[in-house]
Amino acid sequence: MKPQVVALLLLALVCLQPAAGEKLVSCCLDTSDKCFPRQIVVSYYHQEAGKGCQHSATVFMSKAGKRLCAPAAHKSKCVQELVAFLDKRNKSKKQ
Amino acid sequence: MEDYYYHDDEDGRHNDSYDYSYEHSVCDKEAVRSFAGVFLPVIYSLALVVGMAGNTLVVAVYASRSRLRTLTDVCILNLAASDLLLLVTLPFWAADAVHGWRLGPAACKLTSFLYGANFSCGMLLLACISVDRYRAVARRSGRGPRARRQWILVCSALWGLAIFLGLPELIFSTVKHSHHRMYCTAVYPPSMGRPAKAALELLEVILRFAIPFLVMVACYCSVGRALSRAPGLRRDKKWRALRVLLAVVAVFLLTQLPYNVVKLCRALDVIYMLVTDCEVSKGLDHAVQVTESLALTHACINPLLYAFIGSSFKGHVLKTAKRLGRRLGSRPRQEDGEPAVEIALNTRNQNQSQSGSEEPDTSTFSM
Repeated sequence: MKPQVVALLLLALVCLQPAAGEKLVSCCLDTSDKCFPRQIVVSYYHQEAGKGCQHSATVFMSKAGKRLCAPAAHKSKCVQELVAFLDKRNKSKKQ
Repeated sequence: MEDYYYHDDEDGRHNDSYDYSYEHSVCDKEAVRSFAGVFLPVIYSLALVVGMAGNTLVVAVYASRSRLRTLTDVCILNLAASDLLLLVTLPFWAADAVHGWRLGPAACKLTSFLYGANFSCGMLLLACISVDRYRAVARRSGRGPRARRQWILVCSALWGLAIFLGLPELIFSTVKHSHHRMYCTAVYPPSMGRPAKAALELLEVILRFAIPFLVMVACYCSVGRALSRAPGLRRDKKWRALRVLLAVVAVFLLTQLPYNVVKLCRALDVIYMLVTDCEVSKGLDHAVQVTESLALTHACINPLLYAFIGSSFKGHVLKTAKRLGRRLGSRPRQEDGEPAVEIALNTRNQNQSQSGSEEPDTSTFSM
């Protein structure tokens, strides 16, 4: 076998998904382009692609207990603002 | 990830109607997790009991040197051993489905490796059996010490390949914390591109399913053709042998095809991000669980398909029992072993070959 083929095969094997490894992680499958109003969000976390989920997203917890999907922070100005707002509010609450 | 709580604002019950974006909320997999927590333990326990019984019996009977007369026999023994190793991992996956992984990363790596390597090994051995049966018909399989060396070589190569196929799981499996639970899963370097990942999932389908299946179909078609043309063979015997071949291929297809189709769908989803609907995503998760369980039942059916069917297995079971009985000091039972249902496939030189052949049963085709 040619070394390139071997290298490709090795690379391939490294990346095979294990058959038993499908874990049932709750993920954002799609993100909303609308801006969520500040009044309804209480917290947020980042969903990173490749760590159990396929998409990168910012997840906002709403007061009603729903987890809303917004684009990743670097992709949306409105998300950045909302994140900054929540960070600030949280900081002021802790003090 | 940090959780903050409701802050005491003016209108604590703010207009929830704003949560219109249901389609843009997190797809909650709790229902799928609870389904897995019931379904997988039940199926895995059944597979464990049935599979352990059948494969242990095969190992007990085939482990004697005199029973191993062809490469197929050697492969059947190896297949049973490999299936046992695969089945051993099932209680761990069942426990994982019920309350997450609590055994630490080392056990996670080992269990994933055993699962991956033995899943591959089983498929490779099935293909190898079909090749050897074809060679038996084509009168190319050898015997004697030289053949034995060849068997050892073939088996080592297959196990080596299977271990190689299990290595990524050994390297990348780890315990991950998510949603208040520990999971034993593979975490790959984030640098890995998405299309590459999907292409490699396809490679798994090819190595574990498509190639073994095509080899089996090609070999068994040749065997079937030779069998149906073989002169001097009773029709019912022919039909019986053909039925066995058909069953072997059909069971492989029925158990493995659904799982691999679902895997292909998932690979497509990884590339093109097709699934944005939560219900579809959940459906796919259910499909993975059900079809993977179906694929695993193959490990329980193998003893039936390869060892118990056709050949003189019953006789050998009785002989083994007798031998064990003698060893344990009890009185030997009366032997009523059936004659071997081994079909002599003297396809070409039915009448010419007599004295020239090395051993009288070189051309027997045992199933």
